[in-house]
Amino acid sequence: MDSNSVSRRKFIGVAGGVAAGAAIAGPASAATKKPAAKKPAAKKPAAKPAAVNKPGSGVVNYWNHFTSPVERSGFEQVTDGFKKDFPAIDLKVEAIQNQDWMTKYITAVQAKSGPDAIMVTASRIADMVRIGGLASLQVRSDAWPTLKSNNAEGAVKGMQYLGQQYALPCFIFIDWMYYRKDFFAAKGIKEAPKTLEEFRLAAIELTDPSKGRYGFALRGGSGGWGFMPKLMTAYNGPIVTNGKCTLELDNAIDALRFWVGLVTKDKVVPPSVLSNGYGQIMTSFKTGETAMLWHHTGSFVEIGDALKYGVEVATAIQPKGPKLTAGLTSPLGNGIFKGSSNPDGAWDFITYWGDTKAQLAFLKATGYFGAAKPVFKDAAVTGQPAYAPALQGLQENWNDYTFPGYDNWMTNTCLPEFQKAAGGKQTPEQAARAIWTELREVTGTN
Amino acid sequence: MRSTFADRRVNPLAKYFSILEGKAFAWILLIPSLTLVSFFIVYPLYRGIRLSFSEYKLLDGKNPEFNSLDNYFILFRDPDVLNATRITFTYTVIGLISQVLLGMAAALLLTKKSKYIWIARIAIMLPWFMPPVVTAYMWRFMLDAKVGIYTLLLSHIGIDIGGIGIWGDPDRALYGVLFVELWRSYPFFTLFILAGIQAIPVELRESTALDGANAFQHFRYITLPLLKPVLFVSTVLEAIKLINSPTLVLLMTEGGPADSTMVLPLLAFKKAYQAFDFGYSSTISVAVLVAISGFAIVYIRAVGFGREK
Repeated sequence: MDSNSVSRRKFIGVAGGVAAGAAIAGPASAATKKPAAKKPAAKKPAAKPAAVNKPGSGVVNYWNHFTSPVERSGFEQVTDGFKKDFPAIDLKVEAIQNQDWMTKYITAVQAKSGPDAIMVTASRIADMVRIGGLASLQVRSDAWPTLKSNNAEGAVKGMQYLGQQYALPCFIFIDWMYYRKDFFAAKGIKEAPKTLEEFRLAAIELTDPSKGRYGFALRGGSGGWGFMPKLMTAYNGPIVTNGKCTLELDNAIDALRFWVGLVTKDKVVPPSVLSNGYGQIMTSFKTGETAMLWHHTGSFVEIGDALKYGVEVATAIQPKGPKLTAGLTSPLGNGIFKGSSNPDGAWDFITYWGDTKAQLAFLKATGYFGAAKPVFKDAAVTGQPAYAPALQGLQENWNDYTFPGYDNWMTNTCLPEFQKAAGGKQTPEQAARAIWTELREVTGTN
Repeated sequence: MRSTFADRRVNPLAKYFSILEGKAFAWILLIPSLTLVSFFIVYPLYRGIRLSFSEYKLLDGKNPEFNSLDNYFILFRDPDVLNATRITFTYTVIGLISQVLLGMAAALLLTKKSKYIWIARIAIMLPWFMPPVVTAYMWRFMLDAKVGIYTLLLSHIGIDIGGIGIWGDPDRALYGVLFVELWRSYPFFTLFILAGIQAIPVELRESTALDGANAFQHFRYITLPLLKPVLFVSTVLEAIKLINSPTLVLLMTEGGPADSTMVLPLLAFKKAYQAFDFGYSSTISVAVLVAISGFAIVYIRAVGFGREK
């Protein structure tokens, strides 16, 4: 047994320990004895590709974190297609709330009883690998040339950790901006803002609190953590390079001043900003309370159900900062759980969704761009002018980070520090320093 | 009764039966319970406490390493912990006071004799039966800054909780959660206090009435003193629950905005499952455990567990 691995007995002991403590002292921890993180092997195993991927059958359990109705509807298209093409496989799906994801994942890893296939985001891939629940797909993917020949390179790399493939991309979050074309026209603003400063000025122009209208639907509550790295990258360039922090404190301060300033100085966001999550920013934009919204293409269909593209609403690439755009592209994919009892069936599912047909079906239902290059050239994309900024975003947005601790840094440092500054509890400079310090700590940068 | 020599002579199995009457047999009977308690409580607790003296971060890929009191030294200097301690204290104290007062008022209401009092009893107890998840999401929505029905209703009587809203205001979010906690938990006190009031002999009320005491004086000098044991025990139990249970906070605010509702158990949870620092998370849990143990000891002494009656 690997020196780092843990026996079931040890796990039960330690997990029970904290569970008992937690039963009395709170839900603190189901601590574990196993540091399952095993560094991926440096060398690729020399298996014969043809013998690697066998046809699967039987039950495949799959975990995802889709919760919105549109996402679920799109996912149904994928699963329906899969059932037709793979009748020998019985796909059982479990949807887990995003905030419970890592809790459930850690428990599954330690208990060695997880699903067969599992959803993986770029921001979490390093954590998920180091915790020890993702099986390397390197051998399998070497035997599946479609991965490299058919998919966008950035998406393939975003599903790697330390050079090993741990998931197959199935779609890409491409950040972009929605704006109310009718509101812009009414104010005489002819085109979407191209820079952050133009964006700020447009937001000021479009804000009229007496009419209950605000320039920008800033997501300052749940889920709003992701904007900090975007803003700081826009001001700094890459904030982490080769695993080390490359963020300059001054640039972090500028980014925080800009973002907090939208709330405290320019007042171009709804007053309830600090509690506004996905539901609130979407509602405020669709109802006309706000004029601009930063999101990704995954909300394309949802927005289109409420507002008419080309008349009421239009899309644009994210504004640029001094160094880069304030938008990213981030792949989402599927991996195989280490110790899966049906890895062949799981592989069939993740390759099915890793290919063009399923991705196109998902795109049409949701707006999420597939990772497969033929998707970008399909009539569903080229025939929809509103998708043009997404294609531009594929070129100009930067690729998401994948360092260990990234998700926690965003969630528990970036968002609370921003909220403290926007709520008047500290200055943007203090917030920036706290975020910068923690990023250096997380990345082990001296 | 011990078997006698004569019994044993008559019944050769008597000496075996005598075993059943000794202290040793009592211990034998306790073995299953003690085994279960050891397996499910003592040993896990020991492991949890030991982990609190260890460095153990899942992402580091190492086994837990004993680091003496390091985690505890960090704990006492950690501004996040100090903030969470302050919030937990506020949450517990205000939660207890508000729940006792409302629970008492509701219990007094329910002692009224009326044909329709059962309707009030059901209405008052209903929140207590509701799952916390439903309670949390229902109130989160009803107090929403834009679409909350209570936001709208309150605005009609001049109370404005719109605009920034309760959940978006670091100064008010904790009180929003406390309000929901009050709504959910005051029936617990109502139940205890009502039982206590109903145990007070009716003759006492008649006596004080004869002596000319009004309703308030009867409550102040008769009811309240007689309710003290009930109030004490229920308060200790609820204090343990308030310190220990971050369910509502987790569901309603996730500790935000700006960590303004970050109670200690929620902080421990985040350290474990988001920062993957199980060693430090255990340290926080043990600190909370110590605080709760104080209440538990008070409770055990108050109800007289283990004392001969």
